[in-house]
Amino acid sequence: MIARNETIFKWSLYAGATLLCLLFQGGLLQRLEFWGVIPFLYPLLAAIPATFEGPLAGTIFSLILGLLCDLLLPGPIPCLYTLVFPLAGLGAGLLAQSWLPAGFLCSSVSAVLAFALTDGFHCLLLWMLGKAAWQAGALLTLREFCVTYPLVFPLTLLYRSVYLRTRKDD
Amino acid sequence: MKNFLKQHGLWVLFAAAVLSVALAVMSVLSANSSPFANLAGAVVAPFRAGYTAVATWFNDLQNYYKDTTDLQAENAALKQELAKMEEEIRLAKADREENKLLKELLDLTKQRRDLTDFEAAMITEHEVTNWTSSLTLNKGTSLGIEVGDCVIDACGNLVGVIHKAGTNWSTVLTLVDTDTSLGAQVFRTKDLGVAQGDFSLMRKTRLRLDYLPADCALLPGDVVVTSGLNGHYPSGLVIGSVEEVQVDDAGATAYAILEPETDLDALTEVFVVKSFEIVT
Repeated sequence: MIARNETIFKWSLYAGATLLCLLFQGGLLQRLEFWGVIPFLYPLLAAIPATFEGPLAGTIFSLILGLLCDLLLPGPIPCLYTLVFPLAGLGAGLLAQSWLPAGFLCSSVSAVLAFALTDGFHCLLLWMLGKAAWQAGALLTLREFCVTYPLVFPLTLLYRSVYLRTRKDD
Repeated sequence: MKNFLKQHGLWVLFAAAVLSVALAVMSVLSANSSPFANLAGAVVAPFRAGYTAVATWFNDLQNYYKDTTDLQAENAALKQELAKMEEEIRLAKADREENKLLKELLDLTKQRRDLTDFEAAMITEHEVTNWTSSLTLNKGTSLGIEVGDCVIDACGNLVGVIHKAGTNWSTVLTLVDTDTSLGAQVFRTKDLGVAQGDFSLMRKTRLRLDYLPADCALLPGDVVVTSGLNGHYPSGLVIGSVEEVQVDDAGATAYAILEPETDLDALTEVFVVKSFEIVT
């Protein structure tokens, strides 16, 4: 019973932190444009919590985030983020479990992976729809990543504080 | 004291009488005040001046307090009046904006009699991802907006098509989005083609007019409008103008790069075409 309450508390904190980030994206970042693109937090939100919580929990968290994104964001297919974000979460979780301990470096590598997957899937879809734009897609991915990358640090701090807070309670 | 008055009372009375007479005589003889009166006045004068100064200061203080209180009350009343007037200005501004919008709508209705039912909507959000070109509107299905409805600006230029619609919101995919595809016609040459978004051009706010005959005689600046051939969209809505014409790799068909007529970045309000008559 106590363990279940602690689990609920932990994921409520993760959900609260993510909600805060979504508000930040919708309220501020979406209205800013750097280097011709808007900073895009969502792939980071799918990857960074998974580096702290491992592949299974991270994948489930990313799946829920993907569903939410598909409900909120327009896309070429209705389930784009639901398909891609669990992969990003799984990748980030496995990375943190096997190669790099969770932290800034791990978050940075996970962010690269998450952007490569999300934007790569976008490019793949365009190609499948007969509107291939690999070069423009790659350039946009690069710009989007560069503009969003500085936010990896505050996000890692945020999720690490949630992780440490809930781990202390375990 | 009693004994003193009994023994010397008469002498005291006498001395007082002599002094009084002397003072009376001196005052009659003197042109100014008597020396005793002068002495008394001179001694009292500084005290009198001090008393007057204190009285003046107190009076000033009282007046200052009264003035301050009056000014504070007046200031509060003026502030209230100012707030009321500012509120009125704000309302007037909102009314003026609404008036402008309604005038534009009236003009549009006069110009385009085939567009039978409009819904004016405000744009609440521009692009939300870097991979789409979309707008979010503040009106939705509760006002009859449906997926697939055309969205135009105040001048009747095409903005995009409703992609998703909720109760009080809807999302528009603009002309330049990769998912947008419309039957189009070059106004001057009557050449038909398909206007569609291209990802490489999307960030430059341009789109393509595909499937043109290879020998088409398009010129930069030619206006391209919706053809309305499939009946999904009204005909004659201005899409944009030709920027350049290119022949595809196979050489069989040509395509043009179009610059949208509407300024997508500057838009704040649009009109959703809920129904229209097909013009043949």
